[in-house]
Amino acid sequence: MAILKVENLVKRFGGLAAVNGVSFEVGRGEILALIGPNGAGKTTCFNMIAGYMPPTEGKVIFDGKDVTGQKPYTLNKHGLARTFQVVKPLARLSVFDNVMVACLSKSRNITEARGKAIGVLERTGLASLRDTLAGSLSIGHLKRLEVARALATRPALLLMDEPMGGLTPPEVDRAIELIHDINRDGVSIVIIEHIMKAVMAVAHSIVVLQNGEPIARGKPEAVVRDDRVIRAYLGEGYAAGR
Amino acid sequence: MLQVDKLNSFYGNVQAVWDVSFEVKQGEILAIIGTNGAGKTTIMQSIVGLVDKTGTVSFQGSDISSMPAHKMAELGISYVPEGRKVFPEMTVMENLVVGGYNKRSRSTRKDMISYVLDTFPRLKERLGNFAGNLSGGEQQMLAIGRGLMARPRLLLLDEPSLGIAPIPTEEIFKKIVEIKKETTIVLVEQHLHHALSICDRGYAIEHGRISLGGSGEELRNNPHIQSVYLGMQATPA
Amino acid sequence: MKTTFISTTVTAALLAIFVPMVANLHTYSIVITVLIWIMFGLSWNLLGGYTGQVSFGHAMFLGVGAYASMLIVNAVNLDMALTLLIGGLLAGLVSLAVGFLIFRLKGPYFALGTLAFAEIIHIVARNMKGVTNGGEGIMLMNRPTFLGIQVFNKTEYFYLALLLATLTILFCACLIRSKTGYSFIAVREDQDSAEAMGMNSTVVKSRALFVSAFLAGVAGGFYGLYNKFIDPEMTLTVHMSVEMIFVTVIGGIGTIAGPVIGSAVLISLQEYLKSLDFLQAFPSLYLIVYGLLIMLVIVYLPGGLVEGLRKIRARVKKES
Repeated sequence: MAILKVENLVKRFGGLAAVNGVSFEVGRGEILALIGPNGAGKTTCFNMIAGYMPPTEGKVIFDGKDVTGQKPYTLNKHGLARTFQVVKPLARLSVFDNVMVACLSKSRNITEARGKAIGVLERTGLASLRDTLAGSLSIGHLKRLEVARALATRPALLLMDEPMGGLTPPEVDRAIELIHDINRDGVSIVIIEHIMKAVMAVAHSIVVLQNGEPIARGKPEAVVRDDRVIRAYLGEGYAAGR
Repeated sequence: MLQVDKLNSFYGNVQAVWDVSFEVKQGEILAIIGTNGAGKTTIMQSIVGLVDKTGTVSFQGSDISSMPAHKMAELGISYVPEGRKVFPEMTVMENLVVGGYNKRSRSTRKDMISYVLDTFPRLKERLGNFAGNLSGGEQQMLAIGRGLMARPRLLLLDEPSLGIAPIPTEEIFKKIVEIKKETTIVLVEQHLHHALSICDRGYAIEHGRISLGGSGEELRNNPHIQSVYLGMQATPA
Repeated sequence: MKTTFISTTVTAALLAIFVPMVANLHTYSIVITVLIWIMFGLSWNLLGGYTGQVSFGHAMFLGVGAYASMLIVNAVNLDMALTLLIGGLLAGLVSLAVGFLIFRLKGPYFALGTLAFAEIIHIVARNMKGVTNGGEGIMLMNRPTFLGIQVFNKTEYFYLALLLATLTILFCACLIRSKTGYSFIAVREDQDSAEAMGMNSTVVKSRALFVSAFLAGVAGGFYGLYNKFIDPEMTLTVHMSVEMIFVTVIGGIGTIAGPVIGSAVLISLQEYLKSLDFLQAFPSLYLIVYGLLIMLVIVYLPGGLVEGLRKIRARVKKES
């Protein structure tokens, strides 16, 4: 049974349909990439799946249960975590405390949470920054902190919204490794990303959105050769194999 | 055009940048590269007066070290911060108009708006929307457009392609090369292949200090840059 | 946590020993007032400083506690320990109703909502003559005891105030470092983030409000019993709500030491100004001073006196 099933999601803001009939499935242990031009509705889909905003139409089925419209904190308790595209650190707290807050949601006491927090920080490579104020981090570190906080809530499904922003190519490689590492633990992942190198390296399948609708889906190799995808998103430069 | 001398930057008591000195020549594209957290944004923000610093910054011969940030646009320095920072409760059009607020740019505002909208056609479709309702990538395009509206002599672009899809990214880099004719550009960019291919010169920042400098070509061929920043394996002898 | 525990208990012990040696009625009155305002400040700070929900109507919880305590002691002379507890719990119950109605409001609207609610309770108290005796107030008719010990003269009230204030400080310090405390701060920093990490922000805010109201109710109960008289003007007015904010913000919002320092400094200042002969014609002059201080703090020292002390300490360290 798929861990996530999204059925005919629609989101209208006034007269504008930001998402107009998106359906897809994520199998257990699978990594699905959601790509598409800016404004295609990718983050809006995440917002609906993660309970941040209710869909106008459509259903979200998580682990077999209909969770459409449930709040983020309820979904998190069931095992769904997300990172935000525009990062939302707890700015006046240290990196360590940021992760502590996330750990505490699933731990019974402070001591247990502390141990987990240290573990998460090491795994995401933030251990050396543990006492730095989150508000003073660079964008790349902030993105990593988003991942750390989401991981700390021990999700079964992780929604990552553009986690590679601000990273140099070697840092992107390390982030790819981290994603593989998380996936090996059995965490299913849906990732929104523009850095195609990362998408190709991690995705088992891809769904391409444009103007709120899916225009292609399937295995990565096939999708990136799809004409519509090249025209709408990748550009001829990518297709020419730069 | 811009001269930075012995710049040391501080966030409160924490020093982030040590003894950075460099110059930006008129009409060139200067790339600042570095891993994340190295101090690239700090350097840019220090130049425009958003971060505490010691050292001197001079622009076209005059010392602007203690000039407050809000006077920079009037002077001709435009800073496009990473992370969008658009005005969410103003429409796209209003954001652009505000970008052209300073006296120098007011007269050419209409033309500039057309120019920006040609560069980012997606914004044309969204002119009446509140900036807060745009997608992340659209907001980034708006932030760059707004920076251009000020008709700067010196444009500081901090991660302009962050969160932008491949096709508009190509456009942005094409436009950067185009506006180079009128505007000197300092560029911090994650897409290093792009940045190094369009820049005239560049500096690499490591742990808040300059570690390397040179022309675009020198940097592209530098083995250290290739392994650390471009992630290319050194070819075995 | 250890340092807070040690410094608080040691200071309390020192005060317990030395103050009775040197104090006269007037000094007792100042010290007790400071201790009461420490409790009020800490209560407001829990909701406003740590959870980021700025309330302009906290006097209502103080008032509920005060009226409850006075009425209970007058009616059945129940021991203060129980009375104060009941007063606090009643204030907490009121807060649940307030929260339910008002937490859907954001930012300045929440603040206005609390202000409105407090004013409603103020008007009710003025008019419910049967229960509250309206504007005439309630006089303390019995001699209350605390855990069996009679509390009547200034010295006895002083010891009790010291005990209650110390317990409040230690309780708040403990709470902030607990799982609940973390949730308060998370909601303050970024509510969406907190929800994404599994915290129901409305529940978190309600918890903060309940505890804050409880502490205000207990302190309010003590305040009434100490003054041996209460009326709506000295318990339920905006003036009391605002002073709670002043004491915390000037001292240092979002810190444990803030309300302690703020209260000590401001109350002493207030007393000093009141005692100056040439200012007798202007008994409310201290309000102008408060206003000026708040403005200075907001512009130059948003972290209050606590931030000021930290900066001084940092500079001294640098030079040595």
